[in-house]
Amino acid sequence: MNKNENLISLENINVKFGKQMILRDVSLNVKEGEIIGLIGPNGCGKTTLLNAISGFVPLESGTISFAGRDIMNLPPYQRAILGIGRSFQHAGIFKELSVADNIIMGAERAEKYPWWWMFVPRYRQKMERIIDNALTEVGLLAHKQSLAGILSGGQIRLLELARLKLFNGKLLLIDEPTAGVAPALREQLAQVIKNLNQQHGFTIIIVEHDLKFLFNLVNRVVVLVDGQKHIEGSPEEIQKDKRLQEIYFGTSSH
Amino acid sequence: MGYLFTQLARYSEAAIMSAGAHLAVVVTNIFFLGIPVMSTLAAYALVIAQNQGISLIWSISIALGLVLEASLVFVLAYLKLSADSFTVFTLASVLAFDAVLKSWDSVTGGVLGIAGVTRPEFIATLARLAWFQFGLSLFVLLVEYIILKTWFGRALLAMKENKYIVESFGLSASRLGAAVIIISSFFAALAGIVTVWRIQFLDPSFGGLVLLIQVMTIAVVAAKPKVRWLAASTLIIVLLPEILRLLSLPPTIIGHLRNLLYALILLVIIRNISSNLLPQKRFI
Repeated sequence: MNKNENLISLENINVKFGKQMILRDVSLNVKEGEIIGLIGPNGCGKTTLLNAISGFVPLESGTISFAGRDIMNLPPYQRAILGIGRSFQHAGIFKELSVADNIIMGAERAEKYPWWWMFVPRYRQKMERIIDNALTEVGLLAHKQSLAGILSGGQIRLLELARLKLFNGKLLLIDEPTAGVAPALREQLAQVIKNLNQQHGFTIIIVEHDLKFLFNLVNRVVVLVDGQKHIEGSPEEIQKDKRLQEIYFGTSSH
Repeated sequence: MGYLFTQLARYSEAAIMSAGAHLAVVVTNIFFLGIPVMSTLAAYALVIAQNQGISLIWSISIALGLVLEASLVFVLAYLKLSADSFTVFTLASVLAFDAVLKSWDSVTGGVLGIAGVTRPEFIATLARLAWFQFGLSLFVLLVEYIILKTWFGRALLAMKENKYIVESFGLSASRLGAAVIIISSFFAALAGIVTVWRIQFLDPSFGGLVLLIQVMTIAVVAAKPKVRWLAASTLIIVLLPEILRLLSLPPTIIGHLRNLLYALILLVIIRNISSNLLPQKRFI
């Protein structure tokens, strides 16, 4: 796929829960290699938009195509097979599995090992190296055998991102990576996300409330208000938007 | 020795049947309560086929084939119903199947059942049967161990926590759940077949709620998704009621006391570990 071609295209998508419209005529094109930030007030439909892309909520109308293919009728797991990866607002890890098992869950799908790999020393050693590398990169190697549930909020996010790195796909949807994360860890999170984009080649759509964190990370920002796309542009352009300043800071500078 | 071989056989039968319940309830958090139906269906199908003069291999094949078809009904219910409704549906199936067995006299022998079930030649004696059953139980536990060590087991454990995240890995939660129901049904069918070879008699009391209580108690006491815990739990639950024999009470009273004991164990365990066992509300 050419860098100038759209990896994912959303055309006039509408999502309805009961009688309430959550998303109204949202259109968005994301090119390969971009990092797009999605911002807006609480309840404006940011997570719903990610859920619509990954197939967890049905569309009322509109179309979504990924790598030139219509994915409207595909269930979430088939979209993941096509290459749409996902992190979740409420931490998408398995707390009752070990930290290593969380990594294995991602790695064994990506590596396409035979189902019996666990019983073959050669595969086990290879998997051990993958786990060690992934955990070293995010500073969690010491917790390798611990239950993931004992990790702090920030460590859980790092584990989730370490697993996403192993995802065999092209697009990552990352939902509020700094939620519940201490400021000290945010820089490390930002670096991991940059690596996902620059070293591993993922195109990323990221939902985030921490604007400073987001503006240092993304190429383009989309602002959603009341389920509609309010404005789209570079971080510099977006920061000048009066409505955004009212939403986030309560005032607009004139 | 007869008593010891009987206990070994009972342990093996319970372990084979409970492996399915363990996989469904403890590992995956699917409350599939139709296991006694599958066990009884397989036993009746085998015995009826054998009584029609069909060879042993074909009788077993018919029994397992019927169980596979019946398990697809449960799979359909799993796909179409909510988790709570599925549990109620599977529980209702136990009562409905019991009513069918009792009322379809011409085929099942009604409440009187079918007597004189013949064992295959190679397990004609109780000792041989017990060792055969024990070997089969080890095989079933090994299968579950392998399942838990592979991606499939990890996916099932992950599904217990959050099926949306599992789907985001490119795995179908529906297919995983369906596979668990079919595997559980198959284990239950194996247990039903080897049990009827031991008792050589079949009536509606073969399965039903009493069996369900025992199987669920074993699965719940096992608590952890580990095969060694299941093996230990089976040993405790099968052998614990043997203590009641020391009370020199009539056998019918001992039967009721055993169920009471299982109920008390279930209450204590669920009271203490319900947060790990029962479905948790998750958000995406």
